[in-house]
Amino acid sequence: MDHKTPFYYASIGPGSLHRDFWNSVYPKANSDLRFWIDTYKVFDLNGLIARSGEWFSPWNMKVPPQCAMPHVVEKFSKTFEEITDARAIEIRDRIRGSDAKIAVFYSGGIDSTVCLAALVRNLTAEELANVHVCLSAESIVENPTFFDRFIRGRMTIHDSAKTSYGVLADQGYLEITSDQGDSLFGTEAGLQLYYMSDVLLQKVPAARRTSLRNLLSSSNIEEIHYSQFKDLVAAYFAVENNPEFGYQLFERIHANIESARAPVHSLHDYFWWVIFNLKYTYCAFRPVLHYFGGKDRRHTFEYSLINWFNQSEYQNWSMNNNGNGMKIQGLQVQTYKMAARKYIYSVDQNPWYFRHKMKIASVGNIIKRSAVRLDLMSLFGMNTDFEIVRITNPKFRALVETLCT
Amino acid sequence: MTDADGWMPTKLRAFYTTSEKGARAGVYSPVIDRFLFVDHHDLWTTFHAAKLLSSKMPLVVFALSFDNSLTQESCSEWTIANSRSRLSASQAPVLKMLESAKDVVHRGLLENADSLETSEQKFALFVLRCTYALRWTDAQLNAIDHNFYLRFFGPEVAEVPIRGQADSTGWPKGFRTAIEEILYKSKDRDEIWSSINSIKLSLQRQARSNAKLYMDTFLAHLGPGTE
Repeated sequence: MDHKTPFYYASIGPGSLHRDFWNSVYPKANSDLRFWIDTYKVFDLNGLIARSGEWFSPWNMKVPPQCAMPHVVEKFSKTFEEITDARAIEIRDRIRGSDAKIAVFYSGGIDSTVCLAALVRNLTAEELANVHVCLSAESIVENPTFFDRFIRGRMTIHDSAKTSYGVLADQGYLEITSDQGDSLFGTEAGLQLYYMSDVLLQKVPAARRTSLRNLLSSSNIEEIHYSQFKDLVAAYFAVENNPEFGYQLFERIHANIESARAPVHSLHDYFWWVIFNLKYTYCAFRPVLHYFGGKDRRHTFEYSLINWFNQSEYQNWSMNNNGNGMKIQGLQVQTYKMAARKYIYSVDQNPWYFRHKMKIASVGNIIKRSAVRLDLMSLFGMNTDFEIVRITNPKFRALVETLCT
Repeated sequence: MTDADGWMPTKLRAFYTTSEKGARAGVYSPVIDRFLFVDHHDLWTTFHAAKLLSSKMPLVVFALSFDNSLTQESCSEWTIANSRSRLSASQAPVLKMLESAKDVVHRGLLENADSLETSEQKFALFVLRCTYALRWTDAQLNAIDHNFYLRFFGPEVAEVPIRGQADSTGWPKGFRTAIEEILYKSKDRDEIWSSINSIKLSLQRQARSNAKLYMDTFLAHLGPGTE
């Protein structure tokens, strides 16, 4: 293992093993490695890979072909509804007339509810009876109405606390995951900034506070270029013991946007681009990294896993629908992922879910009580042969030493 | 509308005196970033109602241990001082404590506040009212809540076919859970009343029964004017 070893995923992880290791490395790390470590403090993840444009990582990161960013189609006109229906029909046609078993991983959140709602809308009752749903108690509590009306008694249920993507893949299932949904709509990181803005404004230079406050409360915030919020974003990205880091991270993302010629203008677009470009691959690999428990990661990723939203038309929809209310309407939690909310509402007619659905971090609970041993605490990365690399690996530690002064 | 005028069932008002300190609980919606309703009486009933409402919206129940003048009308203009962690709310409610007036902030009505939010508050208060009525009904009539006690005995009880009862109605889940299920799963007041009336009708056709007694007691506690 050396600096040329290609990785699909490389990141600091949770837990004391990672914390103690990287704390010991930080004082002697070179500036590039230090920057990479500090990025984790902002995003709870630093396995960022640029699908487009310039980006830097101390590791030799690669984008798998399945995650390549498609070319932007000018005047792309398909709606979210049209693309979603077509996706359901595509999957229906794939399993029709075959004995393929399909399992949808359903959390109760907006993204996975879109998947199931699309299948409900486009498959017959008979076809739906062959759809298996992998869910947990959390999924039921998060959307009890949908569970009661569309899943219970109509589809076969698996307990996601007792199984995993790898286990079902080994049993021959095709598995639908909605992990990429956040990538299309924009990360919650942007929303978190808006709601912390009062606190963050106290950290920006005093001369900028009033104008930033006015910009944030502007009714046409989507028309304001993200660069005008630089001081605020830098305050949001700030980490202890590195006062320049916030501005450095802002500038690096800005450089990536410029080099990728990305369709980014507003502050929300800026945070959307972070997840659409830099975090996209991580989201795609999550099922085979954090929630696997099977035998063959490569086979699961390349053959068993259907990543519902990882599709060129969805991505073109995402690139062509900034600033028009389809992703978010104003800076409010209740209008996040508006196109997806509308689609779900067209199926379930549930006004409460439409108006009051919030992002709930339930995956962590499932992982904690999962019967599948996941060994996340020492996970560092996965190379392009789908081999896991752990921070306890002596070769990995030797590689880290080469990045220290 | 003060609290005494509003949602509290008539029969129970005599028991619950309004606290001099003001509202005891503020039920906060992280989605709209405002209090949805308040309760001046029993925190645990409020919390239980919030659990039943969680099928519709995530809520946080704040125990208010400081003097305040929050009412059902005014609470929608107030929010909590630090709403930083709203985005990782849980769907099921949690209880938190606010100890000082500095912990709440007056932000005024939402810019796009509409009648929908008023109707959502009315629905929530209706569920709260039902929850009070149910608690009293169950506590007064149910002396054979076996399930409460059998759960202390673990799987060894299951090896012997001991079948407990939820209450004396003979209903598999018991009266309280049956009505709570209606409150949890219904999307509006019409749906709740439709389900309750359907049960009521089927009970009226029966001779005197324990279930009918439960229903009559519940409706008496609930009081008129909620249809």
